Amino acid sequence: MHPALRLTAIWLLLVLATLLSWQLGDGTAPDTQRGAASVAILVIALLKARFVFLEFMELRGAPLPLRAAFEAWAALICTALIALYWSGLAHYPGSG
Amino acid sequence: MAVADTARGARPLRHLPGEPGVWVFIAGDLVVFALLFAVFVHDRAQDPQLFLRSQGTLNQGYGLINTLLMLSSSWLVALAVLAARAGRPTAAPRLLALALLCGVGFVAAKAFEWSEKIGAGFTIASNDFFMYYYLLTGIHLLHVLIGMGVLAFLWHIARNPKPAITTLESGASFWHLVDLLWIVLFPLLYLIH
Repeated sequence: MHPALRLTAIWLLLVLATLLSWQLGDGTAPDTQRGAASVAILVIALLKARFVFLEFMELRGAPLPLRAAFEAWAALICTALIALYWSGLAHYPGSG
Repeated sequence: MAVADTARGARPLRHLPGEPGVWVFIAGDLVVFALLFAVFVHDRAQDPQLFLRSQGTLNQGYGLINTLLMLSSSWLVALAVLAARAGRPTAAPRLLALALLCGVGFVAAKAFEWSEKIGAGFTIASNDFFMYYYLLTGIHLLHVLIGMGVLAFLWHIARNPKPAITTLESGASFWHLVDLLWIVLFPLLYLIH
């Protein structure tokens, strides 16, 4: 694929992912699905961040240690934020 | 010849875009923001009701528009770097000017949003959620303003028939960082429930 076309496809993908997470997080999800929707939103956000690293910041073709470090950042943040978010679900109204 | 090859992505060796020092700065910034993100979600988990109630007063539309503006400006900057590598000195500055315009839109939307919130009585002293809201969006806005200065400088460089590609890549990488930080801030402040 031509590089400019590829960048445009990535941009479109990022826009669609944004609209999807906006839908998931509009606050209309029933209480029982709130946790799942929020985890999905966090996963989508860090996947978007990874695409920005690899495609816009061109880490896909960068020296491997640098690429690995940035991908590790995204994976670590994703895991940590989900774990921290999940720990708070016990304090929600109605969850005892 | 080398420039044309690079433009088509045919790179025999792995390529670090921009100056190494820029990547050191970006890495440091990512560590600082990682801590800020984690502290916010940790504190949110201690009192989700307060955070949910406060989050409910935010207008998600502002967050969405700002995300679309950041994504678009990042895309335009990436296209500008491609154009400069391909030796298209008219396209690159034009794309950078459009990216800068997206930055202006971001700042304007943020100004409207903040003035609405302050007008409704929500300030940095209101509660923990709003303390984080103003702190995180404020530090990010500072990045946007610095990034806009960088984009203006890149616009100037890109007008040269033989632009300094490494400098363009350095500035572009910083602007993508500003985009990336907002990509994580938007769901944390506006979307997770």
